[in-house]
Amino acid sequence: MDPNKAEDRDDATGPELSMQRSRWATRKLTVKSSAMKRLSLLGKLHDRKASTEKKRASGGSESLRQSQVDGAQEDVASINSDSAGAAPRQVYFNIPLPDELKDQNGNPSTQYPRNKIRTAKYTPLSFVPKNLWFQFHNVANIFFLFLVILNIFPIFGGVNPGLNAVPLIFIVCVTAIKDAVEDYRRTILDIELNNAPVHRLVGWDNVNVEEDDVSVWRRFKKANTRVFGAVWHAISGSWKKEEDVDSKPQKGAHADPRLSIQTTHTPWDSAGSPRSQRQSFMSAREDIQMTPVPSPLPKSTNTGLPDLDVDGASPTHLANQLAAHDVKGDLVNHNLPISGKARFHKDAWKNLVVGDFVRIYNDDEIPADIIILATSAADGACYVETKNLDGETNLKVRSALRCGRSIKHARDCERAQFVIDSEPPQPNLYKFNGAINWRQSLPWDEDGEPVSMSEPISIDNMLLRGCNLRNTEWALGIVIFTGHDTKIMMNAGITPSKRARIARELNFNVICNFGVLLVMCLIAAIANGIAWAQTDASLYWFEYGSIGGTPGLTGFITFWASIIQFQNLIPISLYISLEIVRTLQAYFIYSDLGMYYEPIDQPCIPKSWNISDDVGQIEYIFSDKTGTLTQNVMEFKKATIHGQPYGEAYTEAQAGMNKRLGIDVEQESAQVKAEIARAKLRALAGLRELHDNPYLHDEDLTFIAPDFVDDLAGKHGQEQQKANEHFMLALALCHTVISEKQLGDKPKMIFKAQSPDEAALVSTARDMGFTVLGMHNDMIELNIMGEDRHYPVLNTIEFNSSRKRMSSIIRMPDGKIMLFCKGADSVIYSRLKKGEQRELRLQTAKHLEMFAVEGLRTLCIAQRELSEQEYIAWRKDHDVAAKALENREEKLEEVADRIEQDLTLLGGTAIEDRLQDGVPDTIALLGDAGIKLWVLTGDKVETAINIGFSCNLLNNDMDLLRIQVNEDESGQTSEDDYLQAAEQELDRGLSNFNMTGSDEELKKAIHDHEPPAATHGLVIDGFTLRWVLSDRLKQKFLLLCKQCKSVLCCRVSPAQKAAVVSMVKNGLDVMTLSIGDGANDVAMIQEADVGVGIAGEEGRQAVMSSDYAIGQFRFLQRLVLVHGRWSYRRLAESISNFFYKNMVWTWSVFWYQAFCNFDISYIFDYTYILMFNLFFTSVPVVLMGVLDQDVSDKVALAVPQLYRRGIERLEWTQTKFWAYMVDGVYQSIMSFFIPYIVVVLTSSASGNGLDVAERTRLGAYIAHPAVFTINMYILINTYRWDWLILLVVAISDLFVFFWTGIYTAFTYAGAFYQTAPQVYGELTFWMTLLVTPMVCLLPRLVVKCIQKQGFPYDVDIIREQVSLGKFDSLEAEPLVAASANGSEGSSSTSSDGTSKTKSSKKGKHAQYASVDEDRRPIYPPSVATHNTRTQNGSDDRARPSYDRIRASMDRVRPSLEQSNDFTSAARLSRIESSHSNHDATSSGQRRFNLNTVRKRGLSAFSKKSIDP
Amino acid sequence: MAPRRRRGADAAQEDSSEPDAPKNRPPNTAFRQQRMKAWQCVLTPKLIVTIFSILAAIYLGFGAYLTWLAHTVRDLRIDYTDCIRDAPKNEAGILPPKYISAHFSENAALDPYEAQWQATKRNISYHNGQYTRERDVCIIQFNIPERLEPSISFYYYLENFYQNHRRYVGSFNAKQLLGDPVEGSSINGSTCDPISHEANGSGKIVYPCGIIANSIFNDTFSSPTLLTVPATGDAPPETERVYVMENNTGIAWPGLADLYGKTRYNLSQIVPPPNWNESYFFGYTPDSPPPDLHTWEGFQNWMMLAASPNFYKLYQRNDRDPMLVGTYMIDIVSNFDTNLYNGRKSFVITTVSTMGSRNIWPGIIFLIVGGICLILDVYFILSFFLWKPRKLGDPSYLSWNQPQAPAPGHATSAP
Repeated sequence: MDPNKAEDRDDATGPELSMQRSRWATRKLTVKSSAMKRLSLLGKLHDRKASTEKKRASGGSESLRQSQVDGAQEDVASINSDSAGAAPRQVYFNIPLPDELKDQNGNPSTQYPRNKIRTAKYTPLSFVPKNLWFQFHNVANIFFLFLVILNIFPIFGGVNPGLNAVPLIFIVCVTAIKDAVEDYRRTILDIELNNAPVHRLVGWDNVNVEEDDVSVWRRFKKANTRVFGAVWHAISGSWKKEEDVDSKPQKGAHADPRLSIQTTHTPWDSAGSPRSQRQSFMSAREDIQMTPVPSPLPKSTNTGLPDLDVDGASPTHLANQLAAHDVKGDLVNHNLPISGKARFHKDAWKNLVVGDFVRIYNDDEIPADIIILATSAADGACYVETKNLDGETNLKVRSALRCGRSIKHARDCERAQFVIDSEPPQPNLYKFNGAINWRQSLPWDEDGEPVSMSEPISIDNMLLRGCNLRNTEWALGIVIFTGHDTKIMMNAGITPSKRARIARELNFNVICNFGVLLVMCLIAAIANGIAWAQTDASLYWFEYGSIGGTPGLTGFITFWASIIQFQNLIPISLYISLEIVRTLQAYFIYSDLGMYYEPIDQPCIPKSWNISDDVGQIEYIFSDKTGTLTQNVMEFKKATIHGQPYGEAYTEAQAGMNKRLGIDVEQESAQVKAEIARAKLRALAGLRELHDNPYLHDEDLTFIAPDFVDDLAGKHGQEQQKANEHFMLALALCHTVISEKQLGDKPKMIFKAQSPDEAALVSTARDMGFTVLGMHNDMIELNIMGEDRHYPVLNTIEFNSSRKRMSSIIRMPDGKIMLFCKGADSVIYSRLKKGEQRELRLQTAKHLEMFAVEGLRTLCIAQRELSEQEYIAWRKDHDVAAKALENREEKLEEVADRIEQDLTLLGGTAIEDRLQDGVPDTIALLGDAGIKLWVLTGDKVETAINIGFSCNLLNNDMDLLRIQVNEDESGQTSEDDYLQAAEQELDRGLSNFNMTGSDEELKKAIHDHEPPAATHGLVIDGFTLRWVLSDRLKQKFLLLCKQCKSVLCCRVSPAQKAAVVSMVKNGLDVMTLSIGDGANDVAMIQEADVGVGIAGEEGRQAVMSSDYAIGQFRFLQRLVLVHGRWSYRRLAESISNFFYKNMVWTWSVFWYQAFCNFDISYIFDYTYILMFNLFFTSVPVVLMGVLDQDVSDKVALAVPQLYRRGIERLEWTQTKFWAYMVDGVYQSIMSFFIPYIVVVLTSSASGNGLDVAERTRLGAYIAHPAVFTINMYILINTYRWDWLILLVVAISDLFVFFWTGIYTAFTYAGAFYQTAPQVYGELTFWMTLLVTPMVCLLPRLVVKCIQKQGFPYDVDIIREQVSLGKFDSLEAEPLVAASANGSEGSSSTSSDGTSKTKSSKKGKHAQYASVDEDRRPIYPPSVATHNTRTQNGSDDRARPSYDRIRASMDRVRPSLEQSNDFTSAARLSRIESSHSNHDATSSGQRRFNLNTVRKRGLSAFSKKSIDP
Repeated sequence: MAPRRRRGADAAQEDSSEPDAPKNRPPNTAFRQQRMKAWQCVLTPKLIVTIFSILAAIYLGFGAYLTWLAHTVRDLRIDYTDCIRDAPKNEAGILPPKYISAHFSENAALDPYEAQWQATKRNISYHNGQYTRERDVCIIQFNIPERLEPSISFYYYLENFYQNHRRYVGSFNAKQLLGDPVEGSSINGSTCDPISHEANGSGKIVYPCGIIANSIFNDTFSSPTLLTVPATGDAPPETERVYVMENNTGIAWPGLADLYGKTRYNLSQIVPPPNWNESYFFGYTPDSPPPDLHTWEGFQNWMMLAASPNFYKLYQRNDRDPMLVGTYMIDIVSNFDTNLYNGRKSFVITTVSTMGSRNIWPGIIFLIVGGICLILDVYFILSFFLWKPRKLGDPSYLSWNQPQAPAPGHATSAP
C-alpha cells in the first residue's frame, strides 16, 4: 500500500475528527508534504536545515530534521559519532552491529536510557542526602546550622547546645517527612508503571544493547530496591515481585505468554462487529487465520485502490530503485535460520530496551515509543487514544509500516532483518522522521543479489508512550525510544520543587534582618571590647580577666555570642511555624466541602502543601479546554429539519448570557430544567408509542424534542414527517462510526468514532429509531423503526480539516443513488443548489445561528440525488485519482469537490460540547476578581473560539485579533521570513493599542495589574506561537496579549503551553496558575506557580504533577478566591506578626545589654527563651495563619474584587514588613524600659522590701507584659475572633504564669527559683502588666482606628457592610447546597459589578418573582418567528427552548445591532448566494477566515433579511 | 468510547471510592468548614470612642493612685563612698548635702540634708574575738525628720558594680552552695574559675567558689542609734537608744535558703575566697569555720545578682518599731573600696508601701497613658462625629468604585 494511504485514512472519517487529526499532526503534511518528504528521503536529502532543538520554545512543527535514510549508502560514520542522546540513532535487527557502533570490547557503543523512569524526586536511597542537600540550600537553614555549631562551644555563652539544635533538627525532619510523603505517591506510581506488563520478545538477541549491561551501582541499587521491596511487602500484601523475567502465570486475559496470535482468541472480539467480514488483503502464504477485526476504514478507497505496492508502479523514481519499488516490501528474510526459541513473554515496562520487539494488546498503554510493524488489522491500521498526550479522547488511526506487515509471529521477528534510521529523540509530538532499510531478494530473481530497500517512517507509524491502543486486537512493533527519550517524557518537565513567592521574598527580609543582626552584634562587640579595656571598672577588680584575654579578642568572642543571643531576629521558629501554617492551610483546603466533588468522591487535594498563599496572588490562569472547561461529552441537543427547530436544552452558555442580561438564572434554570424533564418524559412516551425501540435507553436520550416525536408520528402533516424521517436516515447513513452491540438484559448499541460529535449524531439517530447495527459487506445495516434494512455504501468521502465536510454515497432501496453530505454550515451552504429552497435556507440559517448563540456546535446536513451515469462517470474519475501516485490527495479532493455540489439542504444539527458545571460563572467571577484567563488548548482554532464564546471569554463586542503565520508546506520559507511575518502580525495587533512593544511599555505593563478592557480577544495557533515565542518577538507578543481581555492559544503542544506560561510568569513577573486534566497539561502545570489538576475520569497524570487536584473547574473559584485569598492574607499577616514578635523579644534582650556592658548575659531565664517561640506566642500566630478570616467564604465569593489586593500583592510588602519591624522595636523599648523603671529605679519594688531587681526576676517583669503585648497584638491583627483564637491567646498568656509557677517551684531553676510567688505577689508586677501592653499597643491601635475610619481598605468597607447585615442572606445559605448544585449557590449574586450594584440588582430582581414575568416585555416573539410558524403550519407547538432563546436574542438586539452585522444568518445567506467555494479550493492551505469563525452575532437577522 | 481499563493506583483509587461510601467526603463540621461562630471585630467609631473612654478612665485612675502611693513613702539615702578619704578623721564634720537624697514631708522638724560624718580606725574582732584587726570605720549622723512607721528597711546601694557580666553570672557552683562536698576536679576548670583553687598550688578548694562569692560587698553597718531620745513618760531619760535592725532574718526571700546549705566539706579541703581574707585571716579553722550559707541571708542576697549595675540590697530591717524623729548615728566598717572602680556606695533607710519603695514613675506612666487616651478620645469624637463622619459600609469608598466618578444616585443605592 501506499504510504500516503495511511495519512489519507487519517484524514478520513467523520466531520470533526479530521480537523482533530490535523491538530494531532500539526505539520499537516496531508498532501504535498508527504510526497515531498518521500522524495526528499529517497533523494538522500541530508539535513537541510539543522533546526536546533528548542526544547521548550519550539513546538508545533519542528522543521524537518532528516537523518540519513538511504539504505544503500549509509553514512554510518556520521551517525555514531555522537552518543545516543543527541545524535540520530541506528537500530539493527537481526543484523550484527557494524564495527563503528561497537566499542573495543565488541559491545554496543551507544547506550540508550532505560525504559525505567522516575518522576519522583527521590529514591529511598538518595532521599536522605538529596533531601538534606536541598534543604540546606535554604539560606536560613545554613544560618541555623552555623548557630548550632557555634553553640557547641561554651565560650560563646551557649547555654545548652543539644537543646539549641532541636529546632533545626525538628524543622529539617518535618520538611523531610513532608517531602517524603509528597514524593511517596509519585514513587508508587512510578513503580507501578515501571512494572506494568508488556509482551516483549525474549529468547532472541537484541544486538543494540549489551545483555549484561548492569553496572555495579545499579546492582547496588537493585539490592536496595529488594530490601525496600521487602519492607513494602510487609506493609502491603499486594506487592508484585519485581523479577526481571517473571514468567509466573498471572490472572487475567494475558496470563500466559503467547506463542502466537492463534493460540488465544481475543476476548475483545465482542459479538457484533458489523464490519468484521472485511476482505483481508493478507497474502496467500500466510497460514494464520487472522481474527477479523473491525475497522472503520473507508471501503471505497480500498476497493478502488488495491495495494499500490503490487500494481501502482509509476516509473518516475530513481532508476536503481525502480525494480525494487514494484515489489511488496517484506522485512522477513525467509532464508534466515532461526533458533525458534523466540517468544513473546510478559515482562515489565522497565525492562524494555531499544530494539525490542513488543506486542501491544487492545487497551494496553504503550510502554515506549514504538514503530509499528504489524497490527491485527490486515491493512496495518490500529487505533490509539492520545488522551495522555494531547488531552483528546477521540481515536486516531496509526498504521503499520508496509514492509512489516508480514510479521505476525515471534519467529517472523527472528527472521526480520532490517536497520532503522531514526532522528534523535526530540519532544515534538507531531513529528517523527526515520526510515527503515532492508535488503530483499526480488521475487523474480530469487538467487540474485538482494536489493536495498527503504521506507520512510513518520509519526503515523508510531505509537507513543502514554497512548492507549484501542479497537485493535494487537499491534507488533519495535521499540525505538525508551524512558526519558520518549516524546511524552521529553515533554514532561522535571517535577519542580515549588516554593511560594512569599517564601522566596522572605529571603530578602531574612537578609535584611541578618544585616540588622550584624549591626547589633557589631555594636555589642565594640562596646564590650571597650568595656573590658577599662581598668577602673568592677570587672577589672573582681572578674579576674576577660573571656578572651585581651579586650579585642573578648569583643570578637562577644560578637559571636551575641549572634547566638540575637538569633531570634532570623527566627527559625518562623520557618517551623510557616510549615505548620501551610500544612494546616492545606488541610483545611482539603476539608472544604465546597470543593468536594461527590460523583467521584474527590475533595480538593493539595499535593504541594506549601504554596497555598501563592493561590491568593494569581493574576493569570491558563486553562486547558478539553476536560477542563468542557466535559468532553458531546450531546445532540437540537436540530432544525425542514425549517422546523426541535430540541429542548438549557446550556451553560445560555445561562451565562441570561445572567449578563440580569435574569435570575438560578430560578430560570430550575424552571427550565423541570420543563425539560417533563418534555423528556413526553418525548420518551411518544417514541415508545411510535416504536418500542430496544436500543433506546431512557437515560441516554439527549435530543429531547416531543414536537419532533409528534412530527415523526405525523401529527403535523406528512411533509414534515417525511422530512424528519429522511433527516434521521441521513444521520444514520452518513458517518464512519464503528458500532458495537453490548449484550445483556437490554441490548445496547455503542458507537465509537474518531470524533465524539459523530458518535452523538449516530446515537441520536438510534434513539429516534434509526439504529445503525453495523457494516456488512459494504452495506450499512440499519434498524429503522424495528425493520432491518441494508443500504449499500458506494463511496465514503472522508472528512478533513480543509474540506470540513464528509459525504457518503448510498444506493437507496429504491435504486436511487443518494449523496449525503454533512459539514460546517458555511461549507454546505456554499454548495447548495443555486436559487432553491430560499425560505428553508433562511430559516435553517436562522436556527443554526440561534443554536450557535446557545453555545452549540452546528452542522448542516444536505443531500444530492445522483443519476446512474453521473455517478459512474464520477466514480471513474475518482478511481483514477485514487490510484495516482503523486498529489493523490489533492486529486481526490478535487474529485470529491466535483460531486459535492448542487446539494439540497435537509437541515442542521446542534451538538453541545458540554461545559462543566458553572464554567461561565466561574470565569466571570474570576474575571471580576481581576484574574485573566487564557485558554491553551490542543484543539483547533474554531473549536476554541466556540468554547470561548460559550464560557464568556469572548463576546460580540470584542474585536478578535488573529495572529497567524501561514505554514509553508514546501519548507522554502526561512525562519527569518516566518519571524518577520509574525512580527508584522504583532505590530498590526499592537497598533490597535497605539503601542510599539518597547521596553518602557513592558515596564509599565509589569506594574499594571488592571484587567484589560473587554475590547479585544486574541487567537493564535501553535505554529505561529512558535515564532512569536522567539526571544525577539516575545515581548511584543506579551504586551499584545496583556491588552487583550481573552487569549486563546490553539493547537499548542504541551511544551508550548509551558512556554506560554513561562513567558507570562517571567515576562510580567506575575503569579500564574495552570489548570488542566491531561498529561498534555503536565508541562504547563509544572511551569506555573500553581498547578491545578482536574481529577477526571481520564488519566491522572495531570493530577499527579499538580499542586492541587480538584474535581471540577468551578471549584477553582473557591480555591482561588476563598482559600487562596485567605491563605495569602493570613500568611502575610502571620509572617509580619512573627517578625514583629521576635523583634520585641530580641530587642528587649538587646536593650538590656546596655546595662551589662554588652557582655551578652541573658535578662530572661533560659527557659523563657526556649518557651517564647514554642508556647508563649507561637500558637496564636499559627492559628491566625490558619483560621483568620477577614470576610467569610461567601462574602469573598460575592465580592470577588477583594481578590485584587492579592494580585497587586499588597498584603505582603516591604513597607508592611518594616512597619511591623519598627513597631516591634518601639514595643521592645517599652517592654524593657517600663519594667526597668519600675523595678530598678527604686530600692525595692516589692511590698515587703525584698529584692525583685534580680536579673531573671526583672526578666519576668519584662517577659510577662511582652508576651501579653505580643499575643494582644496578634489578636488585634486578627479579624475574626472565634472562641478558639481567644482561648489560645488566653492559654498562651496563662502559660507564662503556669510555666513560671511550675518551673520556679523547683530549685533546679537556680537563680530563678521561687520567682513566681515572689513576683506575682507584687503590685508593681501587676501594674507593669497593666500598663506596658497598653503603651506598646497604643500606636498600633490608634493607627488602626484612624486607618479604618479615615482611609478604609475595601475589605474594611465590606466588613462594615457585613456587620450591617448586608450579606446575611448569603450566610444563611447552607454550604452543602453550594457543593451539591455547583457554584450557583455560592456565586449567584456575584457575576457582575460591585457588591453594591449586586445588592441593588438583587433587590431589583426581587420584584420579578418568576422568569415569565421577567420575559414579559419581550414576549410575544417577533413577527418573523411568527411567520415562520404559520408557514410551516405549526402554530400550536410549544417550543419553550426555542422561544426562550428567541426572547433573549430579541432583548439584546438593539445594543448589538450596529456593532455586528456579521451574523451567521446573514453571512450564510451571502455565502449561499455568492456560491463561492473558496473554502474548498483553499484545501492545501490552512486559512483563517473570519467568516468561518462562529461569531455570536446576536444582532441576528435584520428585518430586511427575514422578510421575503 | 471503549471501556477503559485502569491500572494500579487508579484502580485502587476507584475501589476505595465506591459511590455509596464516599470515603473522602470531608465532615461537615463548623471547624472543618471554617465557619465557627465568631465575633468580627469591626472598629466602628462608636466602638473606638468607647474603648478609648474606658482606657482613659482606667489609666488616669490608676495613675492617680500610684502617684499618691509613691508620695507616701519616706526615704533617706546617704552616699558614704568618700567617707574614709574625705571625712574629718576622728571628729564629726559636715556631710556634703550632695551625698544625701531624701523624701520626707515638707514641714518636717529636722532637715534631712543636715548630716555629719567622721572617719576613724577601730579594732574589729572577728569570730567571737578569735582575732582582731584594725579597720576603717565611717561614722555618720543623720536626721530622720519625721516618724517612720514600720517596716523600715535598710539597704546598701552600689553604683557601677556589674553583677551581670556573662561570666560573672555563672561563676558559682550550685551543688557546692547546697552543701555538697564537690570534688576539686569538678570545681577546677568549671565556671568558678579562676576563684576555684587556692592560688599557691595547695589544691585546696575555694569555698564558696566563684567570682560572685569572692566579690561580696563586705562593708558592715551597725543598727542606727538614736542620739536624741525623746523623754517618754516616766522612764529614765536615755542618752541614746539603738534602733535595732535585724540583719540576718527576714532580709532575703524565705525560699532562697533552699538553694544553700551548710557545707559538708572537711575544713582541710577548703579555703575561703581571696577577698574574704579580712574576716578569715587564717582560713577555715575550727574556730573560724566556714559560714553557714543556709542561714546567711546577706550572702543569699548578694548571690541574687542584680540586673542593673546600680542596685540596692537589703541589709537590715525592722518590721516592728517605728523610727522616731531625731538624729541617728551609724557605724560603717568600710572594707569595700568602691573608689577602685569608680563605683559608689550608699545606704538607704526607707519605708515600704505596697508598691515598694518610693518610685514615682509607675504613676507617671499611667497618667501619661491615660492622658493620651483621653486626648485621642476627644480627637476621635470630633473627627468621627463632627469633622469628617463616614457612613458605615459606604460602597463609594470601594477602590473599584473609585475611577468612575461617584455618581450620587449610583453610590447610594445600597440599602
